[in-house]
Amino acid sequence: MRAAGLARMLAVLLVGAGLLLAGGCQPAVEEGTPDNPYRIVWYTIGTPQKDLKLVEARLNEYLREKIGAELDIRMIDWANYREKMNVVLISGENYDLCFTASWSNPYEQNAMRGAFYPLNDLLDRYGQGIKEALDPRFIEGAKINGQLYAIPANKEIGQQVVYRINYDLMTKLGFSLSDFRPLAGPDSLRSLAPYFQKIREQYPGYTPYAIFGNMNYLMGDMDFILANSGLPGAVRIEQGNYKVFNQYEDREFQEYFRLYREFYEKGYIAPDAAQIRDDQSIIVSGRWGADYAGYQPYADNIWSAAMNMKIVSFPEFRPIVTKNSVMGSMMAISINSRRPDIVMKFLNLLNTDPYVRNTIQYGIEGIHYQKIAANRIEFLPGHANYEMPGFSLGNLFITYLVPGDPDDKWERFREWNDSAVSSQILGFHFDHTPVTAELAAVTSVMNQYGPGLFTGQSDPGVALPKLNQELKKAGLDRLLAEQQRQLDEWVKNRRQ
Amino acid sequence: MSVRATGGWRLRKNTAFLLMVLPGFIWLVLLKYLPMGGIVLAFKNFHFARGGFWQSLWESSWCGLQNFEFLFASQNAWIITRNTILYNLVFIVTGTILALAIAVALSELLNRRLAKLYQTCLFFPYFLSWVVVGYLLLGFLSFDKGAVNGMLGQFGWQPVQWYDQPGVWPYILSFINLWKNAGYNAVIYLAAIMGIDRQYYEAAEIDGAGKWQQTIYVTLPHLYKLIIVMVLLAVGRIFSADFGLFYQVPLNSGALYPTTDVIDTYVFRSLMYTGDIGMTTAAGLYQSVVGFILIMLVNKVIKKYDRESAMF
Amino acid sequence: MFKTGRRGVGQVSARGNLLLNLFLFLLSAACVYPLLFVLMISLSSNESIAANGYRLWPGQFSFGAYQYMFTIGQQIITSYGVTIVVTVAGTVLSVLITSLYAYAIARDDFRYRKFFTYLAIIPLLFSGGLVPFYMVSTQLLHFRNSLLGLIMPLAFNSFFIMILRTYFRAGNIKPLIEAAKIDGAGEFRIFFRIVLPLSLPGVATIALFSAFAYWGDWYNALLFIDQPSLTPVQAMLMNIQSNLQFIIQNSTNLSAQAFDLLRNMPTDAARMAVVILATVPIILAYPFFQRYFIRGLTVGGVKD
Repeated sequence: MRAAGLARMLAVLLVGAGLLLAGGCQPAVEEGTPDNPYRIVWYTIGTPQKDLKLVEARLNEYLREKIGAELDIRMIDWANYREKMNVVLISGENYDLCFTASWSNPYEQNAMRGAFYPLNDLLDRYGQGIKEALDPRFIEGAKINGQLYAIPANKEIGQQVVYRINYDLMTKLGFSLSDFRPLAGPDSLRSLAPYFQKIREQYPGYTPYAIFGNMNYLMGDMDFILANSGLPGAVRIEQGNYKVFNQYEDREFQEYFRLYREFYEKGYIAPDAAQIRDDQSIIVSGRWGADYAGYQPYADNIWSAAMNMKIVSFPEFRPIVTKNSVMGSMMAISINSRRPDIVMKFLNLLNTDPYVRNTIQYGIEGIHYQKIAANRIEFLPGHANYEMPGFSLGNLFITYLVPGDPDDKWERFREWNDSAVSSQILGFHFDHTPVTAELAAVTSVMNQYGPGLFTGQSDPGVALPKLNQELKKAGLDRLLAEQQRQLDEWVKNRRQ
Repeated sequence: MSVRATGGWRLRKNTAFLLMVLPGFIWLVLLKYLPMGGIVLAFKNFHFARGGFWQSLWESSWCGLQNFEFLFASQNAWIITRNTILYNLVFIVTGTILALAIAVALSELLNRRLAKLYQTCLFFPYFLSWVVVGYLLLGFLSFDKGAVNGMLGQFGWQPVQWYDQPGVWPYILSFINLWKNAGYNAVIYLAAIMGIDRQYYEAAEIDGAGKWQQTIYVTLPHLYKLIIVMVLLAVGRIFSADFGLFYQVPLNSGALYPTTDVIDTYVFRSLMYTGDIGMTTAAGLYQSVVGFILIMLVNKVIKKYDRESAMF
Repeated sequence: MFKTGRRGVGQVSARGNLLLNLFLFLLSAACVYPLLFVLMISLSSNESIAANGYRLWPGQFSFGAYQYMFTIGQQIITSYGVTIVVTVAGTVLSVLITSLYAYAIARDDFRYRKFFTYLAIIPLLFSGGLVPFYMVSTQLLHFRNSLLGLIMPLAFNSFFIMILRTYFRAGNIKPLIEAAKIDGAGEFRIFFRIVLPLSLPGVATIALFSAFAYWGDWYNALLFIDQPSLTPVQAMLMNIQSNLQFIIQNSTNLSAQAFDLLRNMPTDAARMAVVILATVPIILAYPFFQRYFIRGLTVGGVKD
């Protein structure tokens, strides 16, 4: 009897909880008017800002009139964004808009599993401004099987690895930028060797080549199926040759590892490079010679200001448009959004309306910044309460110039974008579901050998054959075959 | 009449107990048992659907044991399983012994103020995150700047690349685990020792027992049940490892994997790219099921010898 | 120093005491040393870290790391406030819930004790995972941007339950309970008036562990809080550290603009300053709990 009572109590609790869970679907009312605006819940990346609600309120006045919408912006800090969004997405939380990219809240994986709303029709109907504003390669590159699932931000379209040089040290040692070979792949890196040797001799406590165990830097003449993850699967950029291969068996690619090893043995790379996760202390202290980074026009200015020392750079390779580079910063609409049409209207404004775009990035005029020319602003003290990461918030080319920016900044961006070469597999997105187990095992093997190879701590003569052998055991052949199969199909469909 | 009175009393008493467990019960149902429905994910190929989580779960296709495959696909499956179990066994044995030793020592110390000071100090490592421990250890073991190699150099020995020496890491990790957790676990035993009636010691002393004998014949028997509970709980986690200890402290050095890779780090590394929720859940379920079976077995063995001490 | 005058029954000899002191001193030194190390690194200049690595005595002192922390100013004070409120409220709540539950299942005459014991143990082994937990917490319980989201998830702990249950069963409380029952006291009265005071060392242990858990918790903040005014100090400091690593490791993906963010990022010294700021307050609070261990001792010895 009492046991039955207990069971009943349990049942009541469970059912009650279930009802509460199922609830929450309100009946639809007329929404999307200035009087009854639709609330757009927007998750975006970055450190939450103190004045966010203030700016949001100011912007909402405008948006209510314009498109009958209001924003509810939720910022999630950089390092947490990926994990948090994974939970938000899978739990089916009600949100409308979110930041997505190749490197956080991953676009391909989420779009393929159906987390995002398909945008082709919406874009045609409400997003004409976006189509005009964006380099078409952004949209083509981001489409998955012909369907777009997120709007890329208009910014630098290609990726280009450059070697950054500590300018003061370079001049002190009698070198100039012209001593190094740009655009020569591994030979560019090799051309730094005399400079590194000089540092080693004259500044023994310095780190000539300040790198650490990261796997996503090498470019070469190829594009990678799994983006910048360092995982195997590559295709040449523009030969009409769609053969998928394992880059770790490629001679040119292997050349980098031999160079790293050479640099490591000569003491150009820190002995613990594979173990450290960041080198901020070394960089800030100025006791380093060179490292590498991704480029955009006038990046040297940004780096110099950020590190408080003069930085110059030279490129290792031409700028290349890859799916990784077009997926650098995007915005997706949730599959569960009740009014994707209104959200798309907002995205259109964000990419075309300078008032909306600049308010979201720089805040309120008179509080956070003041205008000093039509297209140029200065920051006010209030800026400290509202510092947003501009590249994550849509079309950069309509944003104001800030102190330190040259007048021709956005023209130079356009020129640079035009000069970038497209990878021949731009727009191909790999669906990993048929080989999930293999991919997991391969990822694990890469993480085991990668950091050692990418810092020269491991001897490539020993580690590379070992790596490739382990990769094979982990199912590399099946992974590559699946990549090849999907790529061939994609090529065939595109030709039709 | 008296029977009915007793019955009513018993009912009232059970009601009182039911009221006592009610807050915890509600908590358990809401925050633990309701979410357990998510275990189904381990057998599903998760795909989003309009309408939220349950809808997605419902519409996702079943995939049998496919999500578990990656756990056994690697040729390292045996190594990570072996490492996980061996480390846990070593941790259980050494951890229990050291925590008991500290607790007994603290309780016997004549100067209470010193005892408090020691106790506070022993807790310090508990507050350091594994990330920080990893950095500090690198401070000691760094090839060119580390204190250990500096010392070796003074003796004229060659510096060692410690993050390339899998052989020494079982000792390092076991030591670090002790160092980090002993203070915490000692407090649990210390509190139990505080609860022992002093009369037992007096009686033992009158019988001529020395301090060592008192510890063996009075203190330990009183802690016996607590030790069993602690060990049993640890046994339930024997297939799981402290992720931070095995990932952050060896700084994820590939060369060390033969002796530092455990199930949790392997799962984390493998799913870094795909982030597959089904496989994550499958790995957790696998660890849970093995832990559950082990805990039941051990409990049964204990029950056979000593009914009173078994956990359930 | 050695109160030999009061040396009564069951006390160690002076020589034994010395040995125990030696044992504990060495262990304590091993535990204090790293924290001292952390403190000294936090006071080192970037130059001396880049040149010499971590040193117990830095070549060059600098308060730069702490100055950096205080540029955050108001936020750090707000966050300490949040943490203190959550820790105090949460500890009280969790001790109450945990000890009531543990006591009930410790009593042999509770009819359903087995059921509720199993009920508490199973979650130690099986978990539905993060996503369903998040869903229940946000959609059913509305923990988003609420202090409840920081308090409730840690308010009950099966591990503590099992320890406390053992304390309650092992204690020499049973005869007192029987006596109270004969006097006609209700179960709650017995619990609060007799059991709780007599079990202070055990309850204080659980309180201590709860307080530590609340103090150190950043994960629930990650899940539920995105307003700076509700961010606890651990989450805030954790974010400062992890952002740095994240941005540097993704620097080729993030486009050069992200480097602007690095301007505000801490170095090794600041990372260690973070540890000091996050740890020292709770260490200072520890002696407060120790009082109860000592009181427990005297309660145990009342019958001398």
